[in-house]
Amino acid sequence: MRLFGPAPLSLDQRLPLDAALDDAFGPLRARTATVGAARVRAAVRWSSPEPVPLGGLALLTRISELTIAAAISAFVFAGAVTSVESVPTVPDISRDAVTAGGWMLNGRNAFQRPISSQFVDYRTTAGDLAANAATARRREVAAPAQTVRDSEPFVARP
Amino acid sequence: MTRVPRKSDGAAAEPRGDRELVYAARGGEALAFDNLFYRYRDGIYRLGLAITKDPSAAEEIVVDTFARAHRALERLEPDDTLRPWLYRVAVNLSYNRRPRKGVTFSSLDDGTGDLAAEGESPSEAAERAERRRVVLECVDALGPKHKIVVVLHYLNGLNLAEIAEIIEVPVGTVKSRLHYALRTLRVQLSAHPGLDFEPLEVFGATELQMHKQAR
Repeated sequence: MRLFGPAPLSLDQRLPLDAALDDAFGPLRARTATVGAARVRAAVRWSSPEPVPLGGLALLTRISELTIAAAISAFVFAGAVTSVESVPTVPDISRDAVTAGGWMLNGRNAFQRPISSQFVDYRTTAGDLAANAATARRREVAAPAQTVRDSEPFVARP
Repeated sequence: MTRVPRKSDGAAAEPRGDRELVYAARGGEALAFDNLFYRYRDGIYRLGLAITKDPSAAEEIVVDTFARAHRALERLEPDDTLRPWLYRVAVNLSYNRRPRKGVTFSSLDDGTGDLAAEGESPSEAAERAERRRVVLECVDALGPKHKIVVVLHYLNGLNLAEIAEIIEVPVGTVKSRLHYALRTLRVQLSAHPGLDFEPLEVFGATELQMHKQAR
C-alpha cells in the first residue's frame, strides 16, 4: 500500500482502459497522409537557406566591414555633435551686469550701468547722463574749423 | 507497458535501416531520403492530426518536419535513432499550431469508423462510435503534458523510453505522467453511465485503505 501517492491501476482496471484507448484511436490510426516527398523537396528548395557558419577569410571580411561601418558612423556622429557645439552663444550681459552690479550694453551698443541695480541710485544715473552730454559737447567743440587761405583763388566767390 | 510499434510507421520494401538511409541521403541519394519520408510520414501525420485536429495543418507539419530533417542531414548523428528526433520536431511544430480556444475543427474520426463492421448491428456501431467520441473527448481534456504521452503511446505505439527521448524527460517522468493520465481518464470515463468502467469507489481504493488503517 502506498500512503503518499496514487495507487497504481490494477490489471483489471488497466485492461479495459487500454482497450478503450486502442479502440478510440483506431480510426485515427487508419488515416494516412497524402503529401509526397516532392512537396518536401519543393519546400526545401523554396525556403530560405539556413545561415552557414563563416570561414576564416569570410569572418575576417565581415569584421573589416563592421569596423569600417562603425568608423564611418562614429565620424558622422562626431561631426554632427561638433557642429552643434560650435554654434556661438550670446552671453547674457544684462543678467551678469545686474547681478554683479557692473556695466551693461545698452541699445546703442554703449556701456551703461544697469538702472535696476540696487547699487545705482538716481544720482549715479544723472551723473552718467551728464557725462554723456558733456562728451557730446566736447566733440562738437573739438571739431576743427574750416579755414580759408588766401592763396586759394576763387574760394570766397559765390 | 511496452507496446509493439505499428507496421504503418515503417516503409514497406526498404530493407535498409535509418542509419544507412541517413548516410545515403547525405551522399546525395534522393531515393534514400524519400524512403525515410515514407517510413515516418503517416506516424507524424497522425501525431499532428491528434494534436491540431486539422488535416491540412497535420500535412504542413509533415512537410515542415522533413524539410527540417533535410536541412539538418549534415548535422544529424546517424548513430542516434532518427525516429525520436523526427517526432520531437513534429511535437514542437504541432504545439505551435494547436487550435486556439473557440476554434473547433472536425473530429479526429473521419466517419469511417462509424460504419458497422461485419456482424455488427447499426445500433452497436452507433454505440461504439459514441464510446470512441467520449474517450477522445476525455483525452482532449487532459493537459498537454499528459495528452502527448497518451497520444504517443496509444496512437503512435512508442514505448516509454522513446517517449522520454522525444519529450526530453526521464523515463520515470513519462511513467508518472502516463499513470496520472490513465487515472484521470478512468475517473472521467467512469462518470459516463454508458461505458463499462468501474465506479469511483473501486478506483479510490487507496483512500479507503488509508481510512481503514487510520481507524
